[in-house]
Amino acid sequence: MAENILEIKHLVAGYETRLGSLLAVDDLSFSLAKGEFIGIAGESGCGKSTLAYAIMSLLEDNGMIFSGEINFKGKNLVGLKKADLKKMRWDQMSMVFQSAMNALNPVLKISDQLVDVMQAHQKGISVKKARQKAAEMLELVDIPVDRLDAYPHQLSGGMKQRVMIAMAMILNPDLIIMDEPTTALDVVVQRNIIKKIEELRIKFDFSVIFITHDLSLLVEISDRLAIMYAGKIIEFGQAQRIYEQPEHPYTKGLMNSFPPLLGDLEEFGGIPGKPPDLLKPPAGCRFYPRCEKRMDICHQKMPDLINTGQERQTACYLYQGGHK
Amino acid sequence: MSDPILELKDVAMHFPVSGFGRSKQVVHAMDQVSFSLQRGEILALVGESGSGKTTTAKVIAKLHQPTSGEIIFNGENIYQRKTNKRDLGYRKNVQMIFQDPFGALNPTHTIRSILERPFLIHKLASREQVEAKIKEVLVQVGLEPPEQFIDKFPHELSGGQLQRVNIARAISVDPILLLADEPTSMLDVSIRMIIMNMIKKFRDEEGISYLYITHNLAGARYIADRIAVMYAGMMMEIGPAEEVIQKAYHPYTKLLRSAAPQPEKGFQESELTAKGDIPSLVNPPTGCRFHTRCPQADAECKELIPELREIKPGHQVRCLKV
Repeated sequence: MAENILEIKHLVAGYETRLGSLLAVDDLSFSLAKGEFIGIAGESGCGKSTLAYAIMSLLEDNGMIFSGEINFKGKNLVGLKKADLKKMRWDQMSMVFQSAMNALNPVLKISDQLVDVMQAHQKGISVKKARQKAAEMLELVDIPVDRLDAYPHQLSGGMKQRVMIAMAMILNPDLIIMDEPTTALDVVVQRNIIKKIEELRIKFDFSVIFITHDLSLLVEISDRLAIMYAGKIIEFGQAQRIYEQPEHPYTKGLMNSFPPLLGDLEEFGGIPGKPPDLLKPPAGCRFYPRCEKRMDICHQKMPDLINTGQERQTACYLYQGGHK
Repeated sequence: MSDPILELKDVAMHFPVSGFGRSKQVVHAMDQVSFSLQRGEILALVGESGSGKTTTAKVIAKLHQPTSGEIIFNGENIYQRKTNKRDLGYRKNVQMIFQDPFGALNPTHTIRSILERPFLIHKLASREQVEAKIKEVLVQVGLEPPEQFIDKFPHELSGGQLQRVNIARAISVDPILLLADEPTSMLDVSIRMIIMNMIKKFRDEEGISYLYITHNLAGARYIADRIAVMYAGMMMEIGPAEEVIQKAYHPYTKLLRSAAPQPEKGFQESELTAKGDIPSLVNPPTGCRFHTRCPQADAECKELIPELREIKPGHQVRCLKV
């Protein structure tokens, strides 16, 4: 495999609250190759957005990285100075936020916002040149150049999201993190945006971390897939293989939560119960209270994420001989 | 088939656009919408945002009076029957489940006070009986043991639990028809099937009919007997669920199908069959409303509004090219 652009090692990140520390990302490790498309799936509150913000070093005031490493192009970002992070952010890694509707400044033309990004990072670039580049980027995401001086409210939801993608790509970064970029959009618009991202990724060879709860979409578009539950990755591997043969009971439950468009319609069940409170996570495996296949050992210790096959990892005692 | 419980005949809903210099314009939220719903049937209404799905539900719920057309419920035109202002008789029979479980419940009230109101307003239980009734309905939606939930406030429950309370509130008055407006779209994936199965259960056990609004085609296929596809305020196709998915006739239904995620297929295979955005409903396109995006459209489609025609028994399509 090609060189790894991002290596996350034992990352622990979360929030300080009045009720104690909340570890939204708990001892998480994975790596991302250049040009690779990794999907991260999980329910609300599983820590997937915290992970994204931690990688970008954009956690809110009460959020912090407690321990671990985020190695991006060989450099550990944890503990880096703010000024260095600022220089690198957007230039080398950028982010497309969930609600494009709110991510753009409503009182500035989109041309001004795109020019702003370039002037902040490329000292001395002329407005004329920056505008030219902005127009090129808009063209890449299929927005007519005459919309360059439009205000955000004059664009549809899908167009705003494409402007965000153009903005994320404008400095030609190596990594783009997309946090539910299509969740608020209609299926047809979503499909157009996904196709655009795929096309641009092949053209410009950037890596993508794509975060969503829409597993059916993620399976279709990702190279590899990480399933998160309550701050942990509980299954990791090639997307198609996970879809065909999910191992972890939680992944199986998720796969049983969306009926197919075509093919047989059996009973679909979902997963009873609700995710645990991360301020008081259950002892042992975090899925223990909802798991159909739980065993005695499961509430004693969280199972490690171990290899269960080729490029395949699962954190479940069912695949560790039932004991350790 | 037996008598339909609900029938819409040529219903139109136009909202005036207010604002400076824009007088007399209207948004054509619904035009020529006709369909019927049988007792105990689940009809899924699918379409993109702005296609008029929610307006359809609101018109049936008597939250908006339609501009024209008739809505017949149980043999009576709901806008012509003599009734007091609140029309409790109709509201007891037709209930609604909203999309946002967090917004649909008053945050300052306990579950008890939220759920006792329907019983008291509709005089279905006395003050003494009401607690037992609330507990009964909480058990029906799977919030067990009910003592644990009855004195909680909405913020103490998860989205899935709140949506169960919403369903409990709707079914507590023994309705005949439930209008469910995207009841699962704001819930976590693992909870969605549980809510959908619950909706099916109340149909099977209580014979409740549903108008189930969704934008998720696969979900519609799972839950519904029939699927109706709306686009830009008009009904484009309606027929048996399996047939609409597998053998769609209307180009718009085909577009929706091609856009839906299909994990069983690889990424490369899905090709979109049309481009563009949904048109403005202030000045809707002449002729067929889909002609601006339709790959099969020709000059005729720009001028003639196609009729909703029966292609097969029980399957109607609004397209000149079919």
